[in-house]
Amino acid sequence: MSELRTRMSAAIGTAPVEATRRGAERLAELRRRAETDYPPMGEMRDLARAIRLHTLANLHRYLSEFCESAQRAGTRVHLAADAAEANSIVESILRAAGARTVVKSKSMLTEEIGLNHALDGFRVTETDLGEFIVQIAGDRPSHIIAPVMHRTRQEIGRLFADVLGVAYTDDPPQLNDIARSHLRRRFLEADAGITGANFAVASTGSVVLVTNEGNGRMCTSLPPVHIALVGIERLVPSPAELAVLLEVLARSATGQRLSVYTTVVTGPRRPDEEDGPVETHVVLVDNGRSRVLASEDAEILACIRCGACLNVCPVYREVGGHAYGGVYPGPVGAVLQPALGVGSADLPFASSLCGACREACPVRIDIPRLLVGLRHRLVDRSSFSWLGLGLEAYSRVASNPTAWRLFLSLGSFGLRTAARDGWIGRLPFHASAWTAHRDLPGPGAPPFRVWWRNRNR
Amino acid sequence: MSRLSEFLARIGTARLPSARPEVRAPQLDATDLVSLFIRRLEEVDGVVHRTDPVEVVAGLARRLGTDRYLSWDPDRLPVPGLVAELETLGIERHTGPGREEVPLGVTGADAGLAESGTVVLIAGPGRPRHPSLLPEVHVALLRVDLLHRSLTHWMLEHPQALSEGSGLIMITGPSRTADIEQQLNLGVHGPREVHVVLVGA
Repeated sequence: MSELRTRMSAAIGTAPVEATRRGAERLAELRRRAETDYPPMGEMRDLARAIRLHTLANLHRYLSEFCESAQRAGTRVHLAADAAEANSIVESILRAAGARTVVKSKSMLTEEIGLNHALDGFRVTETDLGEFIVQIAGDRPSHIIAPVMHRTRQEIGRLFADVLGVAYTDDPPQLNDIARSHLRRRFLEADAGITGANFAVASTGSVVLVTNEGNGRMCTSLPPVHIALVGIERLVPSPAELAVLLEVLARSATGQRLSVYTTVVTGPRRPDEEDGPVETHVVLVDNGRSRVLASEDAEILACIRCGACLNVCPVYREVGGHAYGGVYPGPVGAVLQPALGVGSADLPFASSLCGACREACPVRIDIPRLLVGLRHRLVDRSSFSWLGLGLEAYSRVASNPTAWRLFLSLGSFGLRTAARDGWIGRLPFHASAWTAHRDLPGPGAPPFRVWWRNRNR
Repeated sequence: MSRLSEFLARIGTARLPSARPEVRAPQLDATDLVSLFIRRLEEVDGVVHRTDPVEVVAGLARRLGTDRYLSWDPDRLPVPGLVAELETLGIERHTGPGREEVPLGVTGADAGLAESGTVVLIAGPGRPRHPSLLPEVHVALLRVDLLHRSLTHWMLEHPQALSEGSGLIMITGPSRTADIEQQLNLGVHGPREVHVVLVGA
């Protein structure tokens, strides 16, 4: 068994995965309701898809337009070819600003490039409640938008008592208040705020951030320095396209009509402004995306990170987020990670190809098609394959009537020998995978082909 | 930026449909924007008032046990004389340090989005970010004629909005999380209560 299979098998039925399943089912239901409640949603999704594909097809042009507009607005734009470069850019911005304490808003990209680890010389605090819990527990997020879906409130209560030195409680509102006052101090004293970006608008140079808690607003309003890390595929052409994507994103992620806070940062505070960052930076990060864009998997870059495909996926619901390994779990991760060249190579096989993800995806990414393509290339790459050899042998036997009859007689004899009281409890070699979990009925007597021959006489 | 061309040179051409789609506002059944806005904001735990803004702010101050509030500059609020009238009631606009201790914030709004119950605020001189962010309770004064159907409708009519200030914020009800066992909690980082007073209704 591969490492991935071992991990996934071990996860099935465990308490964190059961908690994840309940969360996923609830989010999937909220999305379905939001979709039925809003008749134009189908049309909006088509439009959102067209916008994303158009932007990717013209990414070159929109990236240079974004750089120009952002600089015009007073934002300093940095370019990072890979994770190491992105991390060192952030570090040098912080050093130049004399920053020591940093507040961070949840960002998949900074997880991907391992930013927190790279900034170990600074005091970095994650401020999304879920991500804060992940950070103080030394854990990893298990869902794109709900990072601690796998943890119970009792666990979180014990964690807060241990790490923050407060009295134990497992009451969510009280846990919430503990985190609020702890993190409020961090926001007020922070030298810099680091965020990702849901979108970046080419025509205005704006960075757009969606949160429900308000930590994104805090990180972009209070500290004197704001750094946004933006994957190059996050661009949208103009504000009109942004509006469509924001409406579709909120409904698909949590069933909300809009997220509580949509924060748009267009440069540093202007003359005579009382608050807002004095310095704004954008780090555009490639880290393998340009390679994906040129590949057959380009469509996966249209993803807007809503998590809808995770919530409906029968595999994700059974194994949870951690079993996938790496940063991006679920169907999108099973395509994105191999496409980016990270994570287990056999991730594309962690799917039943049922198509629920394609139906749920707000921008209608054909994830099953991409998975099959990746599988195909994986199989092609290995020069020798047992499957190929087996199918070759099978096709020879099946196309010769005499050989076929002989094969059936031998098989039927073998199965009759293996059967006890008409049932087969154990088969040898690879066939044991079938009988490990259920019995196989023994062959009927007489065999169908004999019965058929006699019937026609 | 000499590196830009080098950076862009890595980006090849994707084999994807490249036509730019025309963004149109979604077709929706006609409805009264005011009642839709009220219904939608209430659905996300916001409160809508159609009474005298001075009374609303004074009532909230009394309930919170405070005589101070944070706000935009008086001449940036859509209710002239609000700050002066509150002062006669002994409720003062707080300026200077210590603003994180003040439990009430008052702002105007640049647009209202009925479909989602959203208020849009654009930061600028005299229109700081913190009154809608730091306090426990945020009151937004929204002129009824600034109501639009949906975000897409508004953005199509106001394509310049994003560039009007360095910060634009859309607020749809009070701060919320469901991170702990999917249980809804209000007021994680931002205000626990959002009140919108419709002005000119």
